[in-house]
Amino acid sequence: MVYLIENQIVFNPEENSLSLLNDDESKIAVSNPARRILLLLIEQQGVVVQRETFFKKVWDDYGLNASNNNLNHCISKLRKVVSTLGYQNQFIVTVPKVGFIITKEIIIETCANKIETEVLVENSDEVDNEPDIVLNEARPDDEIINHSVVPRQNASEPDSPKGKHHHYFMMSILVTTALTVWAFFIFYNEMRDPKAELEIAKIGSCSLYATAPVSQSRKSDFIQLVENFLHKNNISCKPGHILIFQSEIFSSPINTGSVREFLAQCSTDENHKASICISYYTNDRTTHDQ
Amino acid sequence: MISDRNFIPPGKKAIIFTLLPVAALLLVLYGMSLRKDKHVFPVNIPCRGSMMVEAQYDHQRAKMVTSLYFSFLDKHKILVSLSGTAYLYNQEGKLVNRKTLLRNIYYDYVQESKVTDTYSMTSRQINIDSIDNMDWGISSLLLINSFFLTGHTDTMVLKKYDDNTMLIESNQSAFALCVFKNSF
Repeated sequence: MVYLIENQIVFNPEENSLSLLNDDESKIAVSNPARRILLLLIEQQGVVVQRETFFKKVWDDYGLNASNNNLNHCISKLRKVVSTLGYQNQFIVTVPKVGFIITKEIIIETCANKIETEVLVENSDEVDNEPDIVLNEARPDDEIINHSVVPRQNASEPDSPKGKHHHYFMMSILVTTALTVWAFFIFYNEMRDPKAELEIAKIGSCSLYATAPVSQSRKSDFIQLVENFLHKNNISCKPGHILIFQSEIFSSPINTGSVREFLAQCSTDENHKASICISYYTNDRTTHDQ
Repeated sequence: MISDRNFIPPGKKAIIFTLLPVAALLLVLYGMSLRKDKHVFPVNIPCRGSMMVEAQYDHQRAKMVTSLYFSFLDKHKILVSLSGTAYLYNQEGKLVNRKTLLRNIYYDYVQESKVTDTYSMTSRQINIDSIDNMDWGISSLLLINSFFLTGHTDTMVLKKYDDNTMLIESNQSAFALCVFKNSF
């Protein structure tokens, strides 16, 4: 949120800056403690903010050392910045031995972000040489710099949860995506017909399945065996039925004297699941004897 | 003049982004539990089927038409119930004997291999109905030994064929497919 002070000065907490309305060149960066002090005063406008409150909310809560000197220095710098921007009336009022206040007479409006302006980084070499205003929380001398700079983000900056949240959200999305894909595969495997890969062909109106995978090159042999079995046992295929077949001839290349063949004929329900099955099992032991 | 951003409030955003992976994880766990339920024996409903068994020899042919009830019981027991008729034909194909089959066989089983679905099943008790008149000769042609010999152990492969069917196999061949359902 951006604040417009006396319809003249724009305070942008996200950029740690104060500037004249519609004048990017006038932008002045302030330190994090100074920004927090000004925010507190604006939020509590018309109420005296006690020194202890500043100590806690500006320094202690961020793991920094609070002191009267630091507070006075920040207030002084804020006044100086406001003054530099051309506001000559009293902006932050000192309440002796208690704290500070921005009186209600001062008009402060919250503004849309559209008035936020891009900060032009000029004289980058110079900026690099400047003391880091964000890092030096404990060095009030560096807290206010009269240059048009973007306050630098720093990894150790404790009051910038945006980045942390961004990482958290990204991790959350990644984990959710991975788990969802995993769940999708589980449900996909559960929902698909487990015998689909064992389907060999259609015989009449019946789907023919094997009990174990059959290679493509041997499927015609398999189908031939099934047709022989159906013919020999006078089994007819009915619409909606499935056939499941297995033959020892198919799996054993030698004559063991026993030819076992199995065929199940199942009617299926509306969900294509077997409902009633008749199993045909034959064991032909004549071959070896003849 | 106040800037109104149309974003989700940060607090709610954090909750949503925390709940999303949790929900996805629950979905995965649910899927895994479904898969476990689907593939693991024993199932808690009986498996039913009909069988036509034919054994052909040079001088005779035997045939049996029977219904099959297969159920996993508590304490590693299985109940197989058979009801049907067996026929014996001579070399000329003439019916020479007809027998009735009605019995319950209680097995103790051990799952020898989860990978190959191999079970050893020992018939601890065979309850033969009074109308069951299968003799040893015709039984040996048409039934596996544990169906008519108490204390005999057969090695069987019991594997789910699809969601609701089970193939019952010896190591040589499948001989029955039954459907898991409470009733026809």
